[in-house]
Amino acid sequence: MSVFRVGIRLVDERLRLGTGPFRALFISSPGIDPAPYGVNAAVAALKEGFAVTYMVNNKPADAIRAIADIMGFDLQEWEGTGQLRILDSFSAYMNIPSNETNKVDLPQDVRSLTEKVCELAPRDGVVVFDSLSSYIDMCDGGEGAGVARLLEIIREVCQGRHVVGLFSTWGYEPGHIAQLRAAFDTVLSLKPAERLTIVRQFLRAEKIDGREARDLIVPIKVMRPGGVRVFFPKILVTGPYHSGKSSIVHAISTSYVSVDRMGTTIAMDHGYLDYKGFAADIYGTPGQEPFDPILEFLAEEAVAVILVVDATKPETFARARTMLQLTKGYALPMVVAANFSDLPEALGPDEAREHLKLDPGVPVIPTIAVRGAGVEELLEALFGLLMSEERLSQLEGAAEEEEEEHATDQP
Amino acid sequence: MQRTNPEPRPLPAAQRRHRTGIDGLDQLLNGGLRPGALCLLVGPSMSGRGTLARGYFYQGLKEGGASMYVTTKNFSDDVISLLEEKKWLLHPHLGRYVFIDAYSPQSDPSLKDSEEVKYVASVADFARLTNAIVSSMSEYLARGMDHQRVVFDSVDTILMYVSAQGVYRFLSYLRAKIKGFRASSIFLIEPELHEDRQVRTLYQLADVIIEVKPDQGVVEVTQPGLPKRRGAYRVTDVGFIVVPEPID
Repeated sequence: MSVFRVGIRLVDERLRLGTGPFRALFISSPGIDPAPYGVNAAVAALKEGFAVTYMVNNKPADAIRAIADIMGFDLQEWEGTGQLRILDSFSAYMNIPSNETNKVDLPQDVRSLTEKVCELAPRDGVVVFDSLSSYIDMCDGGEGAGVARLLEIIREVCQGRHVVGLFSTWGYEPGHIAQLRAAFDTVLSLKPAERLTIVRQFLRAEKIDGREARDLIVPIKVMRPGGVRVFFPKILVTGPYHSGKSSIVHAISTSYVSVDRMGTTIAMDHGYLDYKGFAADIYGTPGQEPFDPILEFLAEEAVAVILVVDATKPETFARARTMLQLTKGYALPMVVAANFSDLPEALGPDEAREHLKLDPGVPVIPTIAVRGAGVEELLEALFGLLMSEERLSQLEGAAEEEEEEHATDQP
Repeated sequence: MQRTNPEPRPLPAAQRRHRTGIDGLDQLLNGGLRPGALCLLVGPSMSGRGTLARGYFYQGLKEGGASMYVTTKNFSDDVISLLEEKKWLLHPHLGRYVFIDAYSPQSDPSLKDSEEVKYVASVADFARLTNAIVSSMSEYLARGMDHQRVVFDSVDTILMYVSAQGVYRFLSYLRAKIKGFRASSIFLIEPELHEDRQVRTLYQLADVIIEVKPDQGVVEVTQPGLPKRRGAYRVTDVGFIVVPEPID
C-alpha cells in the first residue's frame, strides 16, 4: 500500500501514522522559493507509486522540469508513463500559447480549473498546487475573492485525493492566512534562520495530520542534486594524530576531499554526507599539536563532534580530551569512534568511555574506518543525538526568538 | 589665532549617498540616493530613463560597490550591449554585479544560472524573483560589500499579469529588504500603461520619484519634505546629462 509522503524524513515518519487523505501546506516566508519543496514532495509521492498531478500557475511547466533536473530528479520517465502530469495553468494567464498536453484554458474560473484537475488526478492521487499565493495575486476581485475561490477549489479537489499546497506569505490579511492554514491538516513553515539575509533555512511543523507538531523544527536545505534534506552545516571530526580521522571522514562521506600530505592531514578534510534524509558537511581537523592554536577557529559553528580515538592506544586519550577542550566539543552533541576495534588490544566501548572520562550517555562506537565497519552505527548515534528532544527544544527556543524578530520586520 | 574647522570625517560607505553618476541629477537629489531609498523612475519608453537607470547601475560598480539589474522585458545580453555602447564595461567588475533575468527564459527555458546571471522563469514567480534578489544581496553582504544598488526594469511587466494589490505586496516586501540591506534602488514604471489608481498605490512606496518628461525635456525630482526640483536633460553618446534649474 502506498504511503503519502512529502519527502522530508522527519515529517514523513509522522505522516505514516495517519489515515489520510492528506492535505499538506508549505507556507514559506517571502524570499524562500517553495517550488523545490513542491517538486520534492511530488517525487516522493511518485516513488511511493502515487499518480501525481502538478498544477503550476506562476511559471512555465518547463521550469518545474528544470527545478527537478537541478535537484537530480528526471521527471521524463514518470511523465512518459503518465504517472506524472504537469498541468499548465500559467500560459493562459499570460495569453501565450501552451505546448503542454495538459493545460487549463480558463485558469481563473473555479469550475474550469477544478474540473481539469479532477479529470487528470485520480482518486487517491496527489495534487500539487504551485502556487496558492500566485492564484490569489492573479485573481480578479482582490485578495478576499481569491482566497474564497481557492478554498472552494481545495474542497472539491480534496475529495479522495491528497493535496500539497505551496504558499508564500506576502503580507496577506492574517484572517485569510488563517483560513488557508485551517484548510490543511499538515502545515509546514519554511523560514530563514537569519534576520536579514537568506543563507540558512529551517522548517517548523505547525501541525502534522491534524496533530500539533510544534516540537518538530529542523534546519533544512534543498540539495542540488539530492532534494530536500534536514541539513547540518558543520559536523566536526577531531581526535589525536593517527587515530583515523581522515579514514572516518572518508568512510562516512558521500563525497570527499582529502588534504593529506606525506601521510598526515595538513588542513581540514572535507566531506559531504547524505544519509537517510539527513545531510551534513563534515570537517576533519588535523591531529598534530602544531595545529592546536587554530583548532578553536576550525571548530567554530560546528553543531556536533565525532571524536576519533585509536582504541588500542589509551595513552593518546589525554590528547583526545585536550582536543575536545580546544574545539569546545564538550558543549556539543558528541559521539566517539573507537577505531581499530578489530585489533586484539583494542578497548571495548565502556572501557574507552571510562578512560576518556566521558559521561555514560556519550555513545562510543567501535569502528574499523578503513573497512567502513561501525560507520552506520556511528551515524545512527550521531543523528539520534542531533534530533533528540533536548536538542530540538534548544532549536525551538532560538526559532521563536527569530520569529519574534521577523514579526517586527514585516512591512 | 584663526580657528580652522577640522576636516569632516568621511562617512562610512554604508551611510554615504549613492550617486547616480549624473552630476546635475545628483545635485537635484542633494548628493544622490540615500542608502535604503526606493526611487520610482517614471517616464515613457524611449525617454532616456533606461540610460539613466543603467548609468546608476554602473556608477555603483565604479565606486566599488555591488549592483543588481533585474530585467523583466529585455534579454540580459541586450542590457549588457547597451552598457557597452556607452563604454560601461563590466569585465573589470566581475564578482560585483549580477543580472536577474526574468525575460530570456521565455525564449529559452533551458538557460542555466551563471555567476553573472540568475534566470527566473516568469515575472509572476515572485518567490523565485525575490529569492534571486535577496540571496544576491546576502551574498554581497557576506563578502563585505555594503554599498549595494538594485535596478528593477520594470514594474510595468509585472502589472500586466498580477493584480495591483499583489504587486504592492511584493514591492512592499522588497522595499523592506532593500532598506534592511541599506541598498538603494530604482524601479522603472511607465504610468500611462496602467490605471491611475494602480500607479498612485505604488507611489506610496517611493522615497524619491524621478520623472522624465521627454516632451518638455526635463526631469523632475520629488522628495518628501522638499520642494520639487527640475532640470533640463538630454541623452548623449556618453550618457544622461542634466542641467539643474536654478532654485528660486
